[in-house]
Amino acid sequence: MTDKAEEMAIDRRPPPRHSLGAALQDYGIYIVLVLIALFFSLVAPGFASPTNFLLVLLQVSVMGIISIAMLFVILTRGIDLSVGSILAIAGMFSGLMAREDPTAVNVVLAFGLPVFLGLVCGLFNGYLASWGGLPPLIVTLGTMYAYRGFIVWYHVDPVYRLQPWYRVLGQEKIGPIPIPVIILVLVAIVASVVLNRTPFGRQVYAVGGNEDAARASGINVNLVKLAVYAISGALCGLAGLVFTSRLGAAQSISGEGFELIAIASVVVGGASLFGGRGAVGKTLVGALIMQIVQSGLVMLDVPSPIQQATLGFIIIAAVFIDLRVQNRKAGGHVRSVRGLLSGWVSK
Amino acid sequence: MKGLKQVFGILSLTGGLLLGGLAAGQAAPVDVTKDGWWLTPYKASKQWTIGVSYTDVSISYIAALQRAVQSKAKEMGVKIIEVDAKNDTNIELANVENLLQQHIDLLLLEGASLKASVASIEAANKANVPVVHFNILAEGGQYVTFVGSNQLESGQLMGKKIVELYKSAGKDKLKGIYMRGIAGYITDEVRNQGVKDTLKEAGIADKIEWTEQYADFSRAKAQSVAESILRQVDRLRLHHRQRRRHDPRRPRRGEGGRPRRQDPPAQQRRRSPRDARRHQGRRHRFDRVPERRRPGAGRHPRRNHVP
Repeated sequence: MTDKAEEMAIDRRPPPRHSLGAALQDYGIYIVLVLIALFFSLVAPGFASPTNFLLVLLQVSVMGIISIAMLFVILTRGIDLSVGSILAIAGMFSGLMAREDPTAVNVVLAFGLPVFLGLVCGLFNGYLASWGGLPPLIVTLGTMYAYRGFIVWYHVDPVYRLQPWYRVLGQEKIGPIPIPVIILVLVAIVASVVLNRTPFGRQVYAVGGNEDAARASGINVNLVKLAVYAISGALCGLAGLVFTSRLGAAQSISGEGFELIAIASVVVGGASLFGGRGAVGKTLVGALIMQIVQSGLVMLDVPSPIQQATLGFIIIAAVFIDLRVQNRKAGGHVRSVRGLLSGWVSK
Repeated sequence: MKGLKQVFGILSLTGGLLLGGLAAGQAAPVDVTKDGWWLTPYKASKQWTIGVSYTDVSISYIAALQRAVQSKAKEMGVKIIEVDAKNDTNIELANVENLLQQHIDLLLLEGASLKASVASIEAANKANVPVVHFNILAEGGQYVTFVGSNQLESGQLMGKKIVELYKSAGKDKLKGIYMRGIAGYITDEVRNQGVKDTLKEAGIADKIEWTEQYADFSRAKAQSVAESILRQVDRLRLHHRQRRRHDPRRPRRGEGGRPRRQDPPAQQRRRSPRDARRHQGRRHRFDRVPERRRPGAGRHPRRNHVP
């Protein structure tokens, strides 16, 4: 084979798209973000200000980290419903350590233990969902209740009066930027590099795109699945640490309902629930959209139930668009929500 | 003087909003030398904007509270911005931060947690916005006043009732079902603390055998849990009866003994709390809002109607 033929054989990337539809598919989410921000800037007094911009970033920091964790799992066509419960476990144990004096052991445990516990919880989820042969929806639904039940049983009372050295992480700033925002940006950069620049990242996309094909091409699918759940758990542990430090207190009931907001952020960010498609940046934009809508509605004094309903419709719209895009890509081969659910509940 | 006037204004508005005792619209200056001057409504020189943060408006009691606040705010011509923490201190903090962005004059806070709402209170303190707690007095930070009932006292009252019950029963031990709220939630935590402390003080903490279950403030779940527990009691009773029946020492029918009572099968007894009362069980309820007392509902809907 000549050099030219080899080059042709290797370079099979699709030609760059120039259509308006393709551009909207790629950059539409950013346009939506700008439009929503513009809308609230016009109608909600006090919304368009630098302090509010930083505030929205601060508020989205915890959910942003969890959304990135969820993205890893969803890219492999999985789902992790236990993220909120893992956050509660990690936050509680971190809080228990953070009440003590700042000895080296306490500091290491307060900052390291939540991530470690999250990792352990994630590994357990991953093992059951991969080698255990159980559907991810059922596994993580079960562990969501199990982890929550454990932490409520272990320490039902809130932990408070956390030491000032611990609260620095969640409440202080470096320059004008709050530390949780910096942590979120670092997590996003690392996650983006892992997904886009490493063999592991390509394997994650491959498993989500077509599991059988990935297996046939020599990828250890079970190992990849175990890894994404472990990453998800560890990131939730980190989110628990930031969460507890920001609030200055730990509760066993923290993080309830976070799993659904995280899934919504990922979907709104354009990731496919069918796996194989999604990006860290867009996921963060999805989380930002959710947060901006929520903050904007609060500022407009919209009643809480209407806020919930609005967010619900945004999620439905995002899934509907995802299905339409998938249908078009599949060339008319209809992929339905039923098909999606069957993917979650079957191995 | 200006500060005093502001505090007075806050107290007046709070009292008016939450207790519904004041009428609005009087512009006369307050003469503090006269008796009852504190009942004179405060007339603000500007439009007040008050941020109100509720624990969870899906709970009927909180919803009733919300309707009362809305009604009074409208009556007094005060602008309120309401937010719902959904029992989550993280949402509460985000909501309070959003309210502060809107330059509210006062924050009425029903803390989502007794001990974990500190971040929200401190955020308001940093922004120099006065905080008034209502319904729940959360710890941490600085506040102007608290309006509401003390949850700890509520638990203590419940404890006292149980102590009375124990004394009047004349038994060594009492058994009971303790139907709690939501595990880890503030109201449940504090009331439980009040109950347990009172029983301990009375020296009967070990004399009461509780079957503790969480009903999540849901009537349906409370009913289901109560039925399950009572059914278990039924099974135990049935088991003991069967053992007694097969006891050779037990005098048989017609052998001079008491004739056996025909018991219905245990499976047929689906006992609800109402059945429990019928079966000599005693039921005590605390801090419940019956539908008929809700504003806008019940026998006199027009009287409490909130437009």
